[in-house]
Amino acid sequence: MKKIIKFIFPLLILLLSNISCNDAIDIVQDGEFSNDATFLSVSDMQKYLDGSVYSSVNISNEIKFTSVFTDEVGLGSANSGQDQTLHRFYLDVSDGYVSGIWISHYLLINRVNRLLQGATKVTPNPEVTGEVDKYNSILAQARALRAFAYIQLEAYFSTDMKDSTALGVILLDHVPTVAEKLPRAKNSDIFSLIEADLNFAESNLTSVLSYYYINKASIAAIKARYYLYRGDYTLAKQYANSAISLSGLTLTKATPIPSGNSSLSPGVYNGTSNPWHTSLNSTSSTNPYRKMWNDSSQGEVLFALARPTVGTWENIASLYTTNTTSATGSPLFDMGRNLFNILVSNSGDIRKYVFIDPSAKVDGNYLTSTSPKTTDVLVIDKYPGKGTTALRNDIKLFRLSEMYFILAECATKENDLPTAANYIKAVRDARNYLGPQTAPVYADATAAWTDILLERRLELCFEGHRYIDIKRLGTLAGQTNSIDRNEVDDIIKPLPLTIPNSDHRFTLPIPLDETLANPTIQQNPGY
Amino acid sequence: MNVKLKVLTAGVLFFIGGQVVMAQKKPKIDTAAKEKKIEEVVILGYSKTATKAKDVTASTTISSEVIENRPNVSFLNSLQGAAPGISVASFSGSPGSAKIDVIIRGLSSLNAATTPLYVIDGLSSNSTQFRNINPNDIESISVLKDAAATSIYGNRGANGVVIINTKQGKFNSGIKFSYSGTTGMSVYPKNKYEMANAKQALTLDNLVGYGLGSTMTPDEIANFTTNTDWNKYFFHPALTQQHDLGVSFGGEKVSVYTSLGYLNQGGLVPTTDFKRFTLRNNIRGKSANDRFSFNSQIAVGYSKRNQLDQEVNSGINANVIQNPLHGSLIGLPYLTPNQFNNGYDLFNAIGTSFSYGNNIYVLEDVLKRNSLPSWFTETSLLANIAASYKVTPALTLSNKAGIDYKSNDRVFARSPWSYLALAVQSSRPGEAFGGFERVSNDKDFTFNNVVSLNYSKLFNDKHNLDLGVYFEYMKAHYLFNQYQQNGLDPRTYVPGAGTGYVSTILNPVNGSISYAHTTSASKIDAGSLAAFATLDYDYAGKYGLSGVVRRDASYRFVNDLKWATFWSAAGRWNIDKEEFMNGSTFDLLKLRASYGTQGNQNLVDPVSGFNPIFLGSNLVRDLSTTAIGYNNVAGSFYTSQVANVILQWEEISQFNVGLDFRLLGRRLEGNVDYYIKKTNQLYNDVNSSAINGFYVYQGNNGGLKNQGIEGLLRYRFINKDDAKLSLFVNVAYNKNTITNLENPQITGSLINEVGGTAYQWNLYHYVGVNPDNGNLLFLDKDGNNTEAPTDADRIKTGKSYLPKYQGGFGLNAEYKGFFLDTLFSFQKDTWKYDNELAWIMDPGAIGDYNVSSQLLNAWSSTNTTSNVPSLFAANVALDGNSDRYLTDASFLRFKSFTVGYSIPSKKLANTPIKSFKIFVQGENMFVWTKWKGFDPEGFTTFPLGAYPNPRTISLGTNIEF
Repeated sequence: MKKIIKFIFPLLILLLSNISCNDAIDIVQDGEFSNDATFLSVSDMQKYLDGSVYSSVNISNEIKFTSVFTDEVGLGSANSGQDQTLHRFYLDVSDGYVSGIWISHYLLINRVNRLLQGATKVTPNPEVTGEVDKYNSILAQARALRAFAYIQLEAYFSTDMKDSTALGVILLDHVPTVAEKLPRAKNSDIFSLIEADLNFAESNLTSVLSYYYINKASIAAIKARYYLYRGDYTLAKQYANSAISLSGLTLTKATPIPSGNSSLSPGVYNGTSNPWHTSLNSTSSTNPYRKMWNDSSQGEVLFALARPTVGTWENIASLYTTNTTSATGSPLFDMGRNLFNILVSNSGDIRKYVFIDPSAKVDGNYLTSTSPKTTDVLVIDKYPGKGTTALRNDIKLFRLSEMYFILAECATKENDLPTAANYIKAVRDARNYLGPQTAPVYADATAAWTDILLERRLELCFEGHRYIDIKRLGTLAGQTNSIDRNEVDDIIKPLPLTIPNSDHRFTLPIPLDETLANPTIQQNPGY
Repeated sequence: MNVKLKVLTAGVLFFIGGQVVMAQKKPKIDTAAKEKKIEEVVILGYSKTATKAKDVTASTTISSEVIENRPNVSFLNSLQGAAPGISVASFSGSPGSAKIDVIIRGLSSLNAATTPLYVIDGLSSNSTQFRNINPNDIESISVLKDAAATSIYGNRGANGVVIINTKQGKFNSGIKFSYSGTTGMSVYPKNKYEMANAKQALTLDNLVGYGLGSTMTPDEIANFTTNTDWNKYFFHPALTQQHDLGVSFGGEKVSVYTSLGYLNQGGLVPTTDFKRFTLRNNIRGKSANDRFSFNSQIAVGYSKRNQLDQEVNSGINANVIQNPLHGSLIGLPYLTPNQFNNGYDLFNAIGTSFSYGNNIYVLEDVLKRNSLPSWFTETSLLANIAASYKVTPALTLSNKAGIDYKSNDRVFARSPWSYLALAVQSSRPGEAFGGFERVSNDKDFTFNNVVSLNYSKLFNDKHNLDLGVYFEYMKAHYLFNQYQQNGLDPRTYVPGAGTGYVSTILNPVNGSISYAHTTSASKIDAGSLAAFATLDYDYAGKYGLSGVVRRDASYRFVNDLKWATFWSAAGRWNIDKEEFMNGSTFDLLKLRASYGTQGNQNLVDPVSGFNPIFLGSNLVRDLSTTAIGYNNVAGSFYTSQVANVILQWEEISQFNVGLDFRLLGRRLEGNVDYYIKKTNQLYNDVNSSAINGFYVYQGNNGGLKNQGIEGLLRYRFINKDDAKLSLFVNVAYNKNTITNLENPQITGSLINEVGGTAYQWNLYHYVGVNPDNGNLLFLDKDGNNTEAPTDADRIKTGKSYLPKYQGGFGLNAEYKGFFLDTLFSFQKDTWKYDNELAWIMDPGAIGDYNVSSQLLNAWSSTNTTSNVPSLFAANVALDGNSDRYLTDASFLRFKSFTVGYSIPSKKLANTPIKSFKIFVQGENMFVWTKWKGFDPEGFTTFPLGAYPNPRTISLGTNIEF
C-alpha cells in the first residue's frame, strides 16, 4: 500500500505539472488595444495627446457656474427652473457644476499621467530628424495642460491660493487604480508640481503650434495667470509681458464697424432688429472684435479650445440657451441687467452690441415690468455659433486683454497707478469704435483695483473669470459685496441680490461625489 | 428489477439500481434484500454520490419520468414546479427559444449572471441553453442548493448547480430496442383584455373624432360588417412531432446506450418552427478484474429554427410594424385582411404612413414567408471520456475529459420585396435595390478535464472515510463573424443562398457609396483552473461529516484576486438510527446542517442563451480606442476602459439546515430546508474618487440576502402491485433583501436600495378617476389626491417581479396498467407592469390601434362615476409611472398531465415486446391568474409583445422490445 502511494503521488504530480495549466488563467484577449499597444512610438504619443489629452480640456463647468452664481446672467425667458437654486446662492456639496469642475480637471490630469506613463516606454530615435523634439514637445504640451488643470482646481478649491501652506487639492502624479483614494495636499506641493510642469514645458516645447494648442505664448500666459493668482506679481508681470511679446498679437480693435449707422445712439438701445447691429453680429461680419467671437479670426486669442463645426464637440452656447442664441431660441439665461446697463452706458463700447444678439428684447421699463423674464430678454451673443453651426464656438482660455489686466494689477501692486491706468485704457481704446478713451486717474490703489475688477467684468464675462475675480479683487477694491445683480435677474423679487465677499461660498466645497468615495478627504470650511 | 425500479421511481425522487453507482457496503442481513437492489442514491457534484440516508446536502433529484415525453424542446421547461427552490420561467414560447430563466434559491446577484451551473455527465458546462439535448436521453436531473452540495464548484457554484446525467445501458441486460413517438397540437393561449370589436372601435373613433369611425354615423357603424380578429388571422395551431429510437445493450463488461431522436415543433406564429436531430452514444466498459473502468458519452445534435426577429431583438418589442406579437393585439378589427398581394402593392398604397391602423398591413407582410427570413442552425457536439483505475480496493485514480462545442449559423434578411425593405429603399435616392442580408456564425468551444484521486475505506466496520483530491482545467473559446450585404436583387435573391447580392456603386444622386457591405468578427478566450479536496466521514450510518476546500482561478481576475478559496462544512445526524428511535415509525429521520462559501465569477449577465464565461473578459485591463481627436484629427487614441484590477468574484455564503424524513411504512416522505444565502462583493456601481476621471465604476461592493424555507412532501395512499396513488407537493418561499449598496439604483420605476427587495417597484399610487373632470388621480407623499404627482410621490411598494413563493404539486396514479400523472406549478407574489394593458387603455391610441372595450365606459360629463379616466384626460401620460397597471402575475398552472395505458408485463410475457404504452400528454393546459395577458410567466418587468408559451396536447406511444 505505501509503495503504491509512493508511486501514485509522483505520478499525479507529474501529470498535473505536465499540463501547462496557466494558459487557462493567464489570458489576454487577442488584439486587445492595451496600454502597451497604445504607446509604441512618438507618433502614438501624439495620437493620444490629440485624443484623450486635448479632448479632456474643459472649462464649461467653470463658465456656467461663474455666470449663474455671480452677476453675469439673469433668468432667461425659457428658464423653467434650470439652475435657479444655484442662482439664488444655494451652494452645497451636491452641486453638479462643482462636481463637474472637480472631475473635469482630474480627468485631464489622469489622461496626462497616462501619456507620461506611456512615454516612458517610448524612446525617441535621435537619428530621426526632429523626433526627440517632437517627443519633448508632446510632453511639454501635456504637462502644460496638467499645470493648467491644477491651477483651475486650486483657484476654485484651495482655501487661499496666496498661502502656500493652505490646503490645496489632491496631488495626483501617477495613474491611480480604481479604488485609490488620496488626501488633499498642501498648496506648496501642488505649486511644485505646477511649476515643474510649466518650467519643463517652457524649456522643451520646440514645435511651433497654432493657438489651438499649447505654444510658447500660451505657456507664458498660463504662468502669468498662475503667478497672479498666487500673488507673485513680479513673475506675473514677467510672464504677462512675455506672453504679449511671444504671441506677437495686439489687442483686437473695435473698428472698422459697419457703415451707415452713425446716428445709432448709445444708451438708447431699443433692440428692435437694428440692421446695423444685425450686420455687425452677422456671420460675415467684418468687425475684428466680432470676428474673434464667431471664430472667423484668431483676434487676440492666445489659447482656445478648438471646437470644429463638424463632429460631436460640445456646444458652448448651450450653457445659456436651448436652441439658438436668439430671443426665440429658448434662452435659459440672458445677460444680467446690471452688466448690460454698464455696457450700454459706455459710449462707443463695441461690446454692448457684440455680446448681445440683435433679436434681444430690451424693455426700458424692465423695473416695472410684470414679467421682465419675458419682456426684457438680453440674449447673450458672445458665443454666436460657428458658421452655420449654432451654439458651437471655440472656447477661449486665454486672451491678450487678460495679460493687460494682469499687468495693470502688477502695476497697482507696485503702486504705479498711472501705468495701471494705461493698461486699462489700452483695453478700453481697443473696445471703443468711437476713438481713444481718456486714461482713468486712480486716486489710490483701491480705486485702481475697483476699475480693474470692473473692466475684467465687462471684458471677460461668460469666460469663467468673475467668481475668481471677486474672490481675488473684491476686498482689495474695498467692496464688501461685489456680486452686483439687478432685482430683475430673478423672477422672485425679495431674494438676496448678493452675498458678502468674505462668504465661505467663495471657495467651492469638495463635491459629494468625491466624498462618497473618499470620505476622509478634508472638506472646506462652511460646508 | 426494472419493474421494481419503475415502481419506486414514480414522482420526484430518484432511485438508481446497481448501475451507475452502488452503495459500497453490502447489507449483511438478508432481510434487507428488498432494499439491496434499490439503494436510493443522490447524485452530487463531480460524480460523487451518496445514499439517501448518508446525504448531507440540500438537493433534489428529478427522475426521467418528469421530463420524458413532454413537448418541450429544452428540459429546462419541464423543471417548472418539479422541485422546491428552483424557479423556472419561460418568457418566450418560440420553438427552441433560449429565453428560459432558471433561478435557484432567489436572485443572488443584481448585475452578474444568475443562471445555475449546469453539469452534464460529470463535466461542468458553460452553456445556459440546451435546445440540442434530447430530453428523452436524460436519466436524472439533480438540483444542488446548499453549500454542502455547491461549494465543490467554487466560483461557479454561486447560483446553484443542476446536474444532468444521461441514460446508460445496463450491464448484463442483453439487447433492448425502444421507440417512442408523440404527435401534438399547440394552440395560442387566450387573453382577458376585452379588446374592442369593430363596432366598438368605430364608436370610440367617433367619440374622439379620429380614425375611420369619426366620419361615420351611428347607423353606418351599426351596419358595419367587417370584424377581424387579427390574432386569429395571424396565428395558427401548430403540429409537433417527436420520434426517438433507442438501442441499449449490456454484456458482462460492456454496455451501450444509443439513441436517435427527431423533433419537429411548429410555432404558433407561422414563420417560426424548430427541427432537431440528435444522436447519442453512451458506452461503458470495464476490465476483467473490474479495476479499470471506462465510459464515454457522445452526443451530436443539429437543429434549425425559424424565429421572429423579435426573439433576439428586444429593441423591437414595442415596434408596431416589426413585432407581430404586439401589433396583432392592437390591430384594428374594422380593417380587412389580405388586401395587398405583396410588399410593392402595400408600399404603393400606404407609403410610410402607419396611421389609422396601417401598421397591421405591414405586419401582415412581415409574417409572409421569406419576407424577413430569420433562421438559426445549431450544430453541437458534447463528448466526454472518463477512465478510472482502482490502484488498490480503496484508492481510485480517475480522469474525465470532455468537449462541448456549438456552432451557430444565422441568416437574417429583409428580402428586397418585403415592405420594410421597400420603405427603407424609398428613403435612399439613387438606390435601385433594397433589402439586406446578414449572415453570421459563432462557435463556442469548451474543453474540460478533471483528474481525481479518491480514497475510500471502512475502518472497524464503523468508520467510513472518503477522501478525494481533484484538479480541474477548463478552457473555452468563442469565435464570431458576420457580414451584411446591403442591396438585394429580387430577380435572383434567395435567402441564405448568397445570390442577388448587388455590387457596391457610387450613388448617382449624392455621390456617396451605396450597397456597402459591413463585416465584423470577434474572438474571446476564457479559462479556469481549480484544485480541491473533499472529505466525507461516516460513523455507523448515524453521524456524518463532510467538507470541501477548493482553490479556484479564473482568467477574469488578476494578481492576488486571480485565485480564490472556497470551502464548506456539513454534518448530519441520522436520528432514526439512534436506539431511542427503535420501533418508531420513522424509516428515515435525518437532521443536517451546512455552511460554506461559493463565488460567482460570471460578473456580466448575458442575454438569454449566451455563454456567460465569455463576458467581461478584459475588465481588468486598460483599453484604448481610436476615434476622431481634438480639432478633428483622425485616428487619435483615447482611453476607452480603465482597468479594474481589484475586480473579483461575487462572494456567496450559505447556511442551511434541513430535515429529511420517511415514515408510516414509507408512505410519507419528504424534507424541509431553511437557508440564509448572502451575497457580498456584488458587482455593481461603486463610488470612485475623481482622480480616475469618473465618480462611479463597475466594481465589487454591496450585498444582498436570500432567505427562505422549502419543503417537499409525498404521500402514497395506495401502494399495491397493480394500484398506486400518491400525491406530492413542493413549496418554496424566498425573501430577497438588499443589505448593502453604496447608492440606491433607480432605473425608471424600479429601485434597488438597502432594505428592499431587488428590483422593487417604485411608483405613484393610482387612486382612480377625478369625478369632477375625468382626470387621473394619484396619491401624493402626504396622502392627498393629486393630478400631478412628482418623483417625491413615488412609493416603494415592496413588490418585485421575483416570485416569493413557488412550487408544484400533483399526483401519480396507476391501476392495472392505466396511469395518470399530473403536475401543477405555481408562482406567487410576483408583480409585473402590464405594458400591453397600458397600450390598450391609452385613449391616444384610438383610431390608430385597437384598444380595450372598457374605454367605452370612460368618464364623461354624464358618466362621472366611471373608473375609467376620460378619453381626454389631460394627465393620462402620468399613469406610466403609477401602479395603475402593476399587476399581480401570480399564477397556478396546470402544467402537465399524462394519461395512458401500459400493458402489464405479465400479458407481454410470451411476446417479444417488453413493454407497451400509449398516452395522451397535455402541457400548459390551463392557467389561473389575475394577469390579463396571454401568459403570466417570465421574470420580466415590462413585458410587451412576448411570444406566449403554447398550450399543447399530444398523443404518444412507447414500445420496448
